[in-house]
Amino acid sequence: MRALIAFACATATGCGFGFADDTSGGRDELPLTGAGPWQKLAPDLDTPIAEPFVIADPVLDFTEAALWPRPGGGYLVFVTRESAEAPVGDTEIWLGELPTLREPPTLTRVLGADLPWEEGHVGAPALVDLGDRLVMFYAGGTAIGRAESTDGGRTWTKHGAPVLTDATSPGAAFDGSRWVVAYVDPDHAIAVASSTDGVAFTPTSAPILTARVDDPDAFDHDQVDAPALAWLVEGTGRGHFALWYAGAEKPARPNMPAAFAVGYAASWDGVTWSRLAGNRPIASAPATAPTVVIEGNHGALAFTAPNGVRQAIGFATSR
Amino acid sequence: MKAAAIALGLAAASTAAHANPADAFGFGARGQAMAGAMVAGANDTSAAYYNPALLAADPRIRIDIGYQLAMPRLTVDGRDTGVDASRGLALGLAVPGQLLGARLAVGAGLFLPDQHITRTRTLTSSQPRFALYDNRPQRLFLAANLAVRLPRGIYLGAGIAYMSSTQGVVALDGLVGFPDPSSSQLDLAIDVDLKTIRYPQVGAAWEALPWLTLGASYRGGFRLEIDQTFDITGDVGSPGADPVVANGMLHLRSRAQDLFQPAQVTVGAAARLSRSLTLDFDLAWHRWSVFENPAARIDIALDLGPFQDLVDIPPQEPLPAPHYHDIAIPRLGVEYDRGGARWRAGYSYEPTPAPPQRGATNFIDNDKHTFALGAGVDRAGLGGIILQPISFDVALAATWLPSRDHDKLVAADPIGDYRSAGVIISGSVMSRWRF
Repeated sequence: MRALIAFACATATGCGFGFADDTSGGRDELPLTGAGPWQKLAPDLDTPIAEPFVIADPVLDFTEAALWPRPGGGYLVFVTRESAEAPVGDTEIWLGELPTLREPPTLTRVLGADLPWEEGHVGAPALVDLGDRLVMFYAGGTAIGRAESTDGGRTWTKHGAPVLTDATSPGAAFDGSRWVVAYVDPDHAIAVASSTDGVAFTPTSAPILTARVDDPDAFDHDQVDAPALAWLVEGTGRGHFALWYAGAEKPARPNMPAAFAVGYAASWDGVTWSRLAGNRPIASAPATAPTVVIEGNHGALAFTAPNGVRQAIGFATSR
Repeated sequence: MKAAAIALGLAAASTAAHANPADAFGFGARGQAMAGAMVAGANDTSAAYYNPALLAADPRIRIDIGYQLAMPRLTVDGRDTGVDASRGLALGLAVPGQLLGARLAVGAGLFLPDQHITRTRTLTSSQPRFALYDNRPQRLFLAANLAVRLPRGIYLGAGIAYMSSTQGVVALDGLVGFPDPSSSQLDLAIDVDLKTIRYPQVGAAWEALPWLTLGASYRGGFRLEIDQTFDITGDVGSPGADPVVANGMLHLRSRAQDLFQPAQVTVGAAARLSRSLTLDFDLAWHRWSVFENPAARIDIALDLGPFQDLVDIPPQEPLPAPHYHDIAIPRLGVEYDRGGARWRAGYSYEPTPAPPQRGATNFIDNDKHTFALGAGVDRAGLGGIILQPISFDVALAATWLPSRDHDKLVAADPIGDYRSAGVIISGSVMSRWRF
């Protein structure tokens, strides 16, 4: 009889008293390669920013950012800022801290154009973490330069001479033995150059991404631009180069910028590249100059887009 | 005779349904403890699932009641994907009788989940999910069978099981408010059918030798489909004004495979090696090769009148085939009876029917090794109508899914490489009442 009572108790305990929870799906815990889809920040009237824009100014343009994980959470954002000083068109690189994506950062200037080949502007930063220091590749004049920081990006020491010429808008990645820089070449195609020391780069003979002129419905039918690059190691231990880029379906109208959206391509070896299947973007227009940080299975994408009459930095997050 | 007549009546009018929690985790404490090696050795009401022929093996009326629980931790890249636990009441009934000198029995098995009676969910084709556990454990399981004992130690059994598929139409007719949606004036009609899907299960057993029983069973496969249609017809505009679009139309039909059960053939043997030791071995074949992509197939038709050219809805890409393959599953169980207590252990190896997910699909599955233990005791009857001994059985099983890498063929894969792995802990407690 005692066994019967014990059995009844065990059964009753199981019947709906909750051995396990009732959640299911696991959508939040799926792997993430950065191929999207990405969801721009939704407007929130309770925040001091105009989502999806986080970095904006009514007078100055903010463009071509580089996103980086912030110690303690959030992000560091290195952004190309129009110089407040004459001449018009000069740019500098500024740094802001974003503990959250719902408050504007305080920006400080970290890199200016002080070398002749930079022709008065530096911008489009791309970062590589070597553990003991950060390496920045940046656009200046019609070339790409390199700088290093040992204090988390607050001060930088330039390499001096450019590491690539006839190139702009760099994206950079290091897979542990090889450096790869993606850039926009004079023909407005996206090309890559590789290096074993991060200083002496050898461009590949042909660009890796060009406008898909044969596909009139492709989001990048007319232009490709502004690559960002990262080396991502996946759950199996195998890594790949991930490349985000801007593409425009149609040419710009007079006095209007082209409507760029963000696409995705990748490569196992940095030599052979493939676009994401299909002809649609992973982040909708208007969005150009992407930069992505992926931490675990969550990610953030910053982009440049017009906010009124000025360019500003907006954010999207992985869905 | 009366019992047999009741049995026949029940079988004829049976509205049995048969689904997959038992496939996934076994049915009953004894079957679970012996890793499902039961096609020749099911001596309780779990025969309603494992081999209906064996329902006629015992001349007594039996009622089994208990509780089953399975808690999966299935991971992708080390993160739990949150697959639901499966838990609920397990009930079994066997009623024997005589007809024309032959022993007949009718049996029924029921697993009644206490979370969901049924789970319906359709995910996108590319979203990684453990395809065999996504919806499968979340089902009401009900089986009813008729069994007969023939001369020469031969038993035959059969049943018809069925489940329902969902077909429905949601129709909206009237005025769609534009630019003010709140001014919409729409009549709503919903027409949903839960249509039945029938599939058979049959079994046979033969007491070939005094110490050896051979068994075989067949369970039909089925596809359970969700078929939903949405029809919106009417004008678009403001009440009292000329419509912006007259007689507009949106027709959307979504068809998805919600649940799939492969056809299954199982053969096995139960060998009583001594008075106290029984060894059971099953070999099952599961026809997974006809498994289809379960993602939704969408058909859309739209008529927006003068604005039709402004809308471009691309046709849906063909769903990639999952390329599953048939599998053979060996199961081994042992039962040791001594001093009124029964000790059980079992092992099964279920190879995955799924290829590595290297392309566009992400229907994850891994090989499965199941290790099981169990025990049972008898206690004296309570008197009254319960004169026969009452049995209590417990089982605990661990199913290990060794890690598996899914290396994508294309670097620009939207999901990328990942590693799947997992473990499922399951257990059950059962009591058996004989009359």
